[in-house]
Amino acid sequence: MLAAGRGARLGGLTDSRSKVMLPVAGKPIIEWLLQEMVDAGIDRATIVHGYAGARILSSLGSGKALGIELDFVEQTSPHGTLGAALDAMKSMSLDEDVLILNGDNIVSASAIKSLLTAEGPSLLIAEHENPQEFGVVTLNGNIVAAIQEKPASHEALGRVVSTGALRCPVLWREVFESTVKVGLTGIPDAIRNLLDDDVEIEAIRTDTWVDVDHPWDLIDMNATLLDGIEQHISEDADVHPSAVIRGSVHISENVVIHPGTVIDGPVHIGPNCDIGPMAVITGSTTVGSGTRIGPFCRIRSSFLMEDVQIDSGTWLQRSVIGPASVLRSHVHVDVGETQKIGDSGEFIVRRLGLVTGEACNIGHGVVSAPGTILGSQVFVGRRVRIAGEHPSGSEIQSGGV
Amino acid sequence: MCGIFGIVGQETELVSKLMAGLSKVEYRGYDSAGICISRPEGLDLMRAEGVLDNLKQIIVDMEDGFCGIAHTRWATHGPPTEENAHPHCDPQFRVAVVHNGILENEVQLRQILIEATSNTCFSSETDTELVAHVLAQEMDAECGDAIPDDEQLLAVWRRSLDRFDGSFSLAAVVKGREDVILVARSFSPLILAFNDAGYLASDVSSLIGMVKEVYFIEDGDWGLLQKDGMELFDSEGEPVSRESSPLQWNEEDAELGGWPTFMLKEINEQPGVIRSCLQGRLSRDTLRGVKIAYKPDLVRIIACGTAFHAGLMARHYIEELSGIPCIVDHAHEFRYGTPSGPKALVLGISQSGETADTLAGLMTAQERGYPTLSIVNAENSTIARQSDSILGIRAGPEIGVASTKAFTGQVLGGLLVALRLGRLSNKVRSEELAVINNAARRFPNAMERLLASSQLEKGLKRARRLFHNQNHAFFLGRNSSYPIALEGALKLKEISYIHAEGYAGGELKHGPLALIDKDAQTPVVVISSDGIIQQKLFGNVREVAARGARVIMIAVEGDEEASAHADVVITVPKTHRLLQPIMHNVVCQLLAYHVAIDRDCDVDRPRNLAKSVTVE
Repeated sequence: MLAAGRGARLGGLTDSRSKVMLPVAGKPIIEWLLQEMVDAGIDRATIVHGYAGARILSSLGSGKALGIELDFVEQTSPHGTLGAALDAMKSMSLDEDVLILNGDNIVSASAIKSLLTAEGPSLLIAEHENPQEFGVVTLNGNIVAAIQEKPASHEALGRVVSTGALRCPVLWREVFESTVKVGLTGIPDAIRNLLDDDVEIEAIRTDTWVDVDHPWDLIDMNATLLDGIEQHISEDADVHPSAVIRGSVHISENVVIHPGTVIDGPVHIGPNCDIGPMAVITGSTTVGSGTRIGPFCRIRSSFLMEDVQIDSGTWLQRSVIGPASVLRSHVHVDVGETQKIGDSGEFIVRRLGLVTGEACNIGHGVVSAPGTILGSQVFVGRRVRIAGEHPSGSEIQSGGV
Repeated sequence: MCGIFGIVGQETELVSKLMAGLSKVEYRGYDSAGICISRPEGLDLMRAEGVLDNLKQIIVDMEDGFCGIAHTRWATHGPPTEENAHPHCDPQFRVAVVHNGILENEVQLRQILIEATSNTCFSSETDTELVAHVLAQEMDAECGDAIPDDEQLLAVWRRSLDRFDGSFSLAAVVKGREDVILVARSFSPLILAFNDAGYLASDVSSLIGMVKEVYFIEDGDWGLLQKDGMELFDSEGEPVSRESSPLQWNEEDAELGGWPTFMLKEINEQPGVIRSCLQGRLSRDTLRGVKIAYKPDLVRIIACGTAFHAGLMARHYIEELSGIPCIVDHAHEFRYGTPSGPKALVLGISQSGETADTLAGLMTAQERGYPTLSIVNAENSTIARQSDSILGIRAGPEIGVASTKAFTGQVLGGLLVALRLGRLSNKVRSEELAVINNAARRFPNAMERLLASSQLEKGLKRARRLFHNQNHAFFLGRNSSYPIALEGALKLKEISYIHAEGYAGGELKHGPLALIDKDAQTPVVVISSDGIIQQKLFGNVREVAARGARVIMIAVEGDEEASAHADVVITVPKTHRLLQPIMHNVVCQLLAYHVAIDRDCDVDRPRNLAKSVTVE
């Protein structure tokens, strides 16, 4: 499992952890994927870590709690995902097959099973609405004909992309090495070399692939993962009798829900949160551990990470709030369409609120325009209107956009 | 110090289970290790000098059995050799004994044994061997060469124990009785537990994953451990039963996972420790779970080692937030002193809750009528049970001998106590509590950013080079950063074996400045402070820099002036003034760690040391 990358496009959200460690719907992305692997019958995995690897080691331990035996390899090669795969494959026996998965996107247990039961080399593919951001795959029946990384003119090529989940012989290590030698660093580069040599790779289709590339993808991943949760209220939670808990709501241990609060699932509330009185939280929302939400707040379809503080009367929708961020009282987040620039040009993001990195401080009465994105430790003074993107460490004291 | 472990009634894999349990208490001592299996035909004994791995290599072919005891030693009597390794037997190999603690009447006992039988010979220099001799002698008196029954065993054990003074936890196996282990406890910790077999251990960590609940037996308790039960008596010989408690920790917490060392694992666990330590105690503008009934006129803190430094931090907090005067003593000094004075609260700090000196100090305080409060990590420990009230730091099991995450928890515990005292003396208002609470909520994240920062990694890389070929180092702090200087120096010396001293900056000119060696380019680590003190500290830094020292400055982000004074600057995220020293300390921990690794030191098992100092 490749988990060495930072996830730089997620900005401040990956300041102190890699993308795989973002706690979407109550647990890190990598744990969701490990769960699917366990469900598919896998009992041992090697995790290649690099950026902020300590967080991964701290969180996963030996894997025993997840039902899988984990080995860890620190990526020493600077050669991207190919280098990471090579680091893990170094100690593997040459007569076996290996399953290579990306730790930062979630493929289902059934998709993993079909890779495991395939006859030979196979690649998991899926359709995506922005194929230009991925490796676009062209097919010849169910055989991979070509793979093109982030093509400019995607329309001619179709919407089928590689999920990056690959089952192949450990022997391919040699091809990976030769690809790295000519300066290429992606697994698709190696696949292209193999295709040039007429190697057959079966394409296996999945429709349950959840990927995160940009911060706003977290809102959709959050909704998808919350879709499957069941109602659970911890015995160690203190929920006031006048609070209304509806639908699939997970309330973890030591949570305090004050009077008159309404929580309408699917909502996941992490341990040690303190919510209300009279707060309204509706689906699909994740509230990270240790978060404090004050009176009269309304929070909807958002992903709040751990140790967030939201004072009274704040209105939040389709937003991602980084850990240890503070939203003072009466912050209003507008939601709407916004234009963003990706690797291959501009595209439209529908219905986005606010994204903050780690430890931001948003002052009293701030109004945030749709699609505002802040780095980490951004300070926004009281009653300021914010919009656009602001890098880490910015101070926005006045103004308005 | 010294770890003991035993199993009775194990149907399969006895040896591997004994070794697994022993490996979890290895941090209590690693001078030598040994194991003894009791079989119908006799006692099977294997011992090896040095770390547990040495023993592992010689027991690969050891046959399984039904009952066995094992020991890992921190030498007190005689050097760490195979002869002095436990278990110890009598000359006829009828009994084998493992022991944690010290017999105070060793000399008299040895004399009596020598006088009793002219041909007595001892095969070791340990006090423990005497236990085996006494036990065998009493057995001989009770039933001659016959195999003793339960009643005879209890009589023999009782009479033997009456002859020992001092601190001990003991376990013994008897030839022909592979269905029982004799157990006894006096001051040193001993825990019993059951699942499909009966277990005994010095420490819960060896039982994690094997059993769900454990019995903490009390001082003076002794008796028989069997496969499915125990027969226990108190020091008066009356039958007693003890309550079980659930295991506080789970198996994962005591395992290395993907980490190279426990110390590095535990350093990285600190953000989580902060969260769990404060959870439910500091919420909104209230403070809960710190039980102090009334405002004392004086606080007396007693602790040893790293916990002593946490005590010095606590004193800063207590005096600043409550105005109540506070004295911090080494527990081993306090217990033999003559504490007197006003209505004092005695605060003990110990990670394991088994530190012999701290325990004795607390008991001394109780005898003199002082109320006691303890800050501990192990909430079922002896200190926790003996104190009037406790504050658990919830740091999870700490295995690395050099304490890291427990220090962070202890300092936070000190802060919570200070805040409670501040409330009791009407010096801390609820608004201030809210401010501290909000800062504390952001604190773990700030530490996570520090731990992941490339600036830290680069800074450490440059700083550790300055320690290359150095034999001495200094740590400077002032005011609330002074205890961190002491703790930083302790970490460095205990794991890298570089002689290091922590000083208050103002003390330099009164002597220590003479040690700065221009030719040696002595490294000096400076832990920055704040406010007016910061300027004074910079003055001290100039003094050492001018005399050829190489300065490593630990400062808060954005402190431009700090970088002007140093060869290497490592910056940390700014947090609340009261919490800032904890952040600085993380850098000291990592610096000590990397310097030790550079010198190929075994950071989890530093020489001559052991975790949980259960002897005086």
